[in-house]
Amino acid sequence: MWITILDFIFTLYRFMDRRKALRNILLGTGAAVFSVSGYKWYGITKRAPLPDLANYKGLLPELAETIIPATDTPGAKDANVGEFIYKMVVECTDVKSQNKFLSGLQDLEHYCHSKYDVPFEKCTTEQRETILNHFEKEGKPYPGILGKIQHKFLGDPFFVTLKKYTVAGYCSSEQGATKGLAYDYIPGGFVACMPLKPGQRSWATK
Amino acid sequence: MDNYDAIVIGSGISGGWAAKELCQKGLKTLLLERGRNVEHIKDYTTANLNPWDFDHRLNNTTDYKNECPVQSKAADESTKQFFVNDREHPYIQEKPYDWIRGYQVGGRSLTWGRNSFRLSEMDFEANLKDGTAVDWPIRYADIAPWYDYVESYIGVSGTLEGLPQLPDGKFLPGMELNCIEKHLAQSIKSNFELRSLIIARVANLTRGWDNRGPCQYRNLCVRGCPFGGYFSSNSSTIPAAAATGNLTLRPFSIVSEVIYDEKTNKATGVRVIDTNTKETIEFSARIIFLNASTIASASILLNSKSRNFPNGLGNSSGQVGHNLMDHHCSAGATGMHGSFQDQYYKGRRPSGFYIPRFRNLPGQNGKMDFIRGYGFQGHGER
Repeated sequence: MWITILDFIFTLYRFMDRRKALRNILLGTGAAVFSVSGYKWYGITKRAPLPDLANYKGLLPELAETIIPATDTPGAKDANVGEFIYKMVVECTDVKSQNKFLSGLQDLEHYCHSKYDVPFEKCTTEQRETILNHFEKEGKPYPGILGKIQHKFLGDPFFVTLKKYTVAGYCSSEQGATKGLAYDYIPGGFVACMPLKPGQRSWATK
Repeated sequence: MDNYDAIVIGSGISGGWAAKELCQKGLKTLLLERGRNVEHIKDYTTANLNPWDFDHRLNNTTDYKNECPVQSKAADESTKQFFVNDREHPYIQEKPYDWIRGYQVGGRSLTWGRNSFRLSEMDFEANLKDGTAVDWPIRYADIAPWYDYVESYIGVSGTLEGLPQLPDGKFLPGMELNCIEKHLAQSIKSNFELRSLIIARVANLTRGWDNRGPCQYRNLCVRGCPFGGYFSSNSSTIPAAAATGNLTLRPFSIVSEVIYDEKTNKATGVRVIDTNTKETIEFSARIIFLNASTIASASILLNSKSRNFPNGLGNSSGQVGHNLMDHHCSAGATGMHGSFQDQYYKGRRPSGFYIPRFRNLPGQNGKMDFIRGYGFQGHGER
């Protein structure tokens, strides 16, 4: 259960000063924690070579399916999540995360070859999971506020982007929303509290 | 010059209301709107779509964010048709200010947050009591019957709480807090004096009202509601005004100035630019009601220059267009709670909770390093 408290209404006098001070502290922390070489900075801020992403059109559905495999419910492939990831990376992603995603895909290919001598598509399910676990660990963002700063200054790591779009693409797809989750198109009423039934699926939309 | 009994500038929340009131009093009324028409239900083009019907599943593209850096903070793929294009409507931000705008019939009444709280006597008296600026010329008692009047017409759901800082009103049954929200409400009540957490008071209908609604708990209000489940000019006041036969609605009509007659010392009409033909047209009326939103209304006054008002109509003080203050809405908190694992909800309540002001209340001890107070909005979910 989550609680989110969103706004102040009316004015809290002198608050701006405190906020500014807080921001300065955060900026200082950010600069200290994330020191990045000029070369690496260029690598993530340059215009992303998006046409290269077309080379991975076959790989993306396999990666997504490893994260959300078909069971008694549809998997990522059934939900065309690969296409969604492609579209999101090209059209809805900041340039730093785009660069990290593309170089992440490259790294993953190399990793598969050096470790298993085959492309990801030829790996067994167990190998695929080992590979993605490796990239998840490697690109694990800092927790809490540092993670937010990291996201803002350096973009998202490869696996964060992959997982984020896999989950979002699956849950918002027709297959995922209606079969993997429970899609209530027109609820018609509101029940504030009711017992969760055994095996009840999560609602697809908020 | 075309003559009407009354001219209303702007068709948003207050303009729609002005048009309804004037039309129902038998006055031939011209309702001017700078943007396109949006007809209730018919023009809610995205209202019935599923998440997977959208190319980017409701996410904003990088191109859209670059083109509309301000509106894209409020709009998404399903609602951007009700927000302006920032590139077409640029403005200078000397200090950061997110100017969210909707230039169409209904204005932002289509996309508003629907929270409908009353000001209290404390708010009306605040300037006087803490010695800020000028004393407001009216008190709660003057406005209370009008709150009744509006709430009774638009339909506001909420609970009666008897709080002096947040007066009760004429409410439809309130929506219910879910179990984690109830838990928080209870722990706030038992741990703090004078603090409470209540369901938000919203212009969403918990039962059928004025041939609209009830709310279907889809939580897609901002797309326009095909059930009329919430109040907008489009669903409520403009159709009521039109039903009298006294309304002339003129979209694509941007008012460049209010025409002022120096002999009679009165505003006599408006000058309009037709945004399709670029033609300038004048309309006259005995009553001119300026409802073009905070900034645009001030800008029309500043634009309306005459010998008597060289700095803009009604601006002899020089204060028109100054002292704009925004909602402060970036501070807050989130938390996770481990209990209620066996509880869930059904339906998507289109509203959250509200923590009314609990600072600097009369009779409260302890001194704050600021005056007045603030409230919180929030919600709980799993």
